[in-house]
Amino acid sequence: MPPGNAAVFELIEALRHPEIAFFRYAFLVGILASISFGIVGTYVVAKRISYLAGAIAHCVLGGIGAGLYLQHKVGLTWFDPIYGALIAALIAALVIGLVSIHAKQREDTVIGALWATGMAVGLLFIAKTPGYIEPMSYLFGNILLISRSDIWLVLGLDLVVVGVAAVFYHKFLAVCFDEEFARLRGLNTDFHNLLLLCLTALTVVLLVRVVGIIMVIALLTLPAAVAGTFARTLGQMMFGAIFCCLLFVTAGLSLSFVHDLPSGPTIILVAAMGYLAALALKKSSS
Amino acid sequence: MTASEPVIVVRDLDFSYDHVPVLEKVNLSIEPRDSICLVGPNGGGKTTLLKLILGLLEPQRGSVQVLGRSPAEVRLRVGYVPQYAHYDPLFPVTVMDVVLMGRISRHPLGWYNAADRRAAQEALALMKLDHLANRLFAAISGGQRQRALIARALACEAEILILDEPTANIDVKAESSLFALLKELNQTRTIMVVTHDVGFASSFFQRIACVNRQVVTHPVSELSGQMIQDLYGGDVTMIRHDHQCIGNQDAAGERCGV
Repeated sequence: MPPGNAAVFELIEALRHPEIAFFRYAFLVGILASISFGIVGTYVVAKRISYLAGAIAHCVLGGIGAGLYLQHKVGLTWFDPIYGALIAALIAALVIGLVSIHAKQREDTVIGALWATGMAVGLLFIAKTPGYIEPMSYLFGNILLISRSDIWLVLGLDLVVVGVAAVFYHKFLAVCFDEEFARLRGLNTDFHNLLLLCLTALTVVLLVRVVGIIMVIALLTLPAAVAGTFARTLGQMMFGAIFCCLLFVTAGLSLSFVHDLPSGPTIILVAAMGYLAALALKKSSS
Repeated sequence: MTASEPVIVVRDLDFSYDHVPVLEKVNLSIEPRDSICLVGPNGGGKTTLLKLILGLLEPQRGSVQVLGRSPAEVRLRVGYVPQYAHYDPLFPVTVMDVVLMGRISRHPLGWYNAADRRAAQEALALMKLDHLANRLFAAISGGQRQRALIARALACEAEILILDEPTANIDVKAESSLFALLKELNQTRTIMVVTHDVGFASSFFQRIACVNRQVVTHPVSELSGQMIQDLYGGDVTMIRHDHQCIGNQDAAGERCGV
């Protein structure tokens, strides 16, 4: 049997193996989450707000730290850090949204400060939580942390993202393309901007689960950027981004398993190579 | 309101950014089916006046009334055409999608219907762009993009059209066909254009308003042959115009409006 086939065989065996269920869960979560990542990533790229998504992602550490502290120190055992992450992401999204609405001139400074403050809060909470906690898993992702309950979380998120994106498709398009005109046509642009940021926040929490805080922006933006080189409408870009994200996540997870590499960085490198390939293809075709 | 009442009335308006006055004691009245051109130097307050009329800014003193109401209340009856140059060249959107945005407020939730598509199609046909409906907005020429944005404003079915620097970055040929189109639209609508390029536009507008902290308007029909020659004839340039507007406010107003 040639080595390539052997690797595929090994991969399929691993996905079926009852003792390494986490790998199957990671695969399933990655595939299902691609739907949300592709849709939200398209908005983030088209509206050019990837630094806002980055700030939200880093604030998530504050929520995770607080969650761990409450769980281990205060004794709220039911308080999974994922709840802390969700709350922190939504608060960060609302604060960042209000800052970008009201503090036009110093927006980047305030966002940068929030970015670092969120991380600092998280690291302090983790330092004061008894027992040894490895922040690396949160920063760079760890598929061992993905559990069966994450599948329900992803399915719920997909439902919310697809629902909101379908209902608000044209409104979001108008607000992203020309906010001033949308406002003059009577649209509540502040509401739509905040809604979009909240969707981004929910998606970012899942992304943290898959690739870790540091690499969230890459997996959010690269699939959409690849799709954007060929798409003519926002809808096309979304479908393209979902497909690319699916491809990057499954290829990255497979490669990381077969070659025993950390999964987060492998996924990101596959995505980056995909983006370079798309740029090269576009250049050669024009 | 009756047909003869003014559509836009600005009364004793003052506006300043952080205590730096931009507009002072501005009075302006625009009649139905008027076509008025706001000219003046950069920093003279043209864009600020435009934003006040659109209701994007609130005056600190005085009032702005559009169709007898506050600008924010009648927003949907005003069609706005912004400068096309500020759009993201990578944004994935077709010409048709852009024109449909003129009808975004008609449905609180969800999608456009057949009537919206028909109105957008008609607006595109009027701007002679129907063959480009499914092209990428970023991939058409500057003049075509300008026309697409006018089509978007027409799809609003608005009574007043306000255009910001429609001739910036388009060539002379595109500019003359643009003014021919505006002339046609002016049969049924009030048109207001902001420009710093008054020489060429003067054949179309009924009135010119010079905006430089204060506003002085003059009907084009009152211009004498010699004055037109002085102001717009020969080698009139934007720089020369700016020069005339700066300096003594009153004299500048007289000179610009002539």
